[in-house]
Amino acid sequence: MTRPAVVFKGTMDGLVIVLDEEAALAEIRECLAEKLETARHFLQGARVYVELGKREFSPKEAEELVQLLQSRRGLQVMGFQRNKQRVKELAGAMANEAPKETRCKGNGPTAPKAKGKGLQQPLPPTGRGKSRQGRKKEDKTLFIHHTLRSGQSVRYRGSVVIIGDVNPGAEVIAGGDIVVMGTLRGMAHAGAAGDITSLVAAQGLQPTQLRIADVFTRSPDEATPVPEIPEVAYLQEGTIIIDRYFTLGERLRSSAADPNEDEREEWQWAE
Amino acid sequence: MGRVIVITSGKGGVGKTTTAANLGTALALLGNKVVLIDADIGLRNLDVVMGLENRIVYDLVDVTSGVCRLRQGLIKDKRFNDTLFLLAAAQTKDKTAVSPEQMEELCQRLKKKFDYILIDSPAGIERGFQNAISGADQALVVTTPEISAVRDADRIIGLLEAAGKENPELIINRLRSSLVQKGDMMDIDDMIDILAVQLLGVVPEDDHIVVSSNKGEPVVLDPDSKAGMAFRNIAARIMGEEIPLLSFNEEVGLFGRLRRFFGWAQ
Repeated sequence: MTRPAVVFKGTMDGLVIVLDEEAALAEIRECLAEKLETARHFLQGARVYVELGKREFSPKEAEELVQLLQSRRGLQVMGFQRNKQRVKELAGAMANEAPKETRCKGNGPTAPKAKGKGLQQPLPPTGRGKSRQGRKKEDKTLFIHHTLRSGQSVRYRGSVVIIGDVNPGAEVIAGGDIVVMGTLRGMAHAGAAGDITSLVAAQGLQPTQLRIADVFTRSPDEATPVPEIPEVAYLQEGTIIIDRYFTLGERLRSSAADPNEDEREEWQWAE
Repeated sequence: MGRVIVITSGKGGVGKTTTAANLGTALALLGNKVVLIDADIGLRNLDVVMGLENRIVYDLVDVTSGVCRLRQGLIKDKRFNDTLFLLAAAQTKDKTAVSPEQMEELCQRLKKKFDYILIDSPAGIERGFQNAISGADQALVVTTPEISAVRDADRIIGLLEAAGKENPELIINRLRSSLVQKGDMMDIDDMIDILAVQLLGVVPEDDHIVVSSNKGEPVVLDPDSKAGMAFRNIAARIMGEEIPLLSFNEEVGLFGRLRRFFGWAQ
């Protein structure tokens, strides 16, 4: 049996994709596509480095490779390396790296108690949320047009709208708001990068766990009747408040009218 | 051209093998040519439930690896005249002994000769599951009215959809109507609400199942069994007939019937 053209290796800093030095590019591409397919759940959104060995790689080829990795499973190519040494020569390929569906990258702070997967950086000391207006301008919204089932996970830098349910065992992690146009029964983490103005709204709000910025709450242990009206969860004075959705407009208006918004934020984070 | 149907669940012990054995037998009873494939390599059971354990000479791995011909691997069920066959799992190998591609090829070959090919999937979501679904045209997800089983069914449906097996159908097994009525068990609506898939049938808890599994005689062959009737109905629905769901309300006795007659039932 010949050596595979592509090998995945786990290292201290993450996943490394080792390309065979002699294999033809077409062979690498084929082998890579196959591996991405077989390990797709494992690789979803993973951050990888590419080990080139002695292989010569043109910027164009590098760019093509980066695109293949990103388009398939949202892998993020963090850099290239030769014999385990990071190299900068192909950084050009990374310039247009940012995939459309950017998962919440490590540069964002997150809840200290968040599960190990993906979001591991602790909250930086300056972890102050951007203002609502500021965020709206720069971040996009991801629409998911199906129900998220157990084991499925969505991570996105901006806001997420789900046209469907979020079932128990599924998770949504967003840098901004999360809106579920069905029943939220799984885990939702809004403002995962520290934005305390983020909110979670759902047609039926019955999450196993809710997280906003670095605050988290869980459903009560004993079964409680859940009102069958749309509800919204947001942070107020460091606590997650759940409210009827229809009062949201009022709350936003009053907060927009608050001239001391920055000060208020300061105070909320001070605790 | 036959149809390949995989029976899967994620969680173990919900009745995949029982379902496969009974649906296979029921489809054969209804005049179809059926082959059952046990994809649970290393933990084979389907042969025992079918009462065919002592006839296994060649198994799935022997067929896919070319040790024997396909014809030799198919074990004929003595109760049926050349319409029901079993391809048993290997007991001494493990799941990696077969690849998804080999399963797909096998299904393609069987499709030419049989009306229905039922694959009994192992529990779990790893290689064995991937093998079992790879050749399937359709998936039946079996669950019981327990939160853990429904959770796993949800995961499985997600994986099936990701693998391009659209529109899996649901079989709810081991429903105990007395518990549901008391509100101590998930009811059908709760489960459909979460899983959001087509319900193919509901099988009540039935002591006959234990007896028949141990005897190696599928319960569909027992005219007195409610579970057997439920499986026969499901088989007919697979063939495209429209049959209403069985009602599983417990016998209510004379007083209850009188009450219902006068409209006092809750």
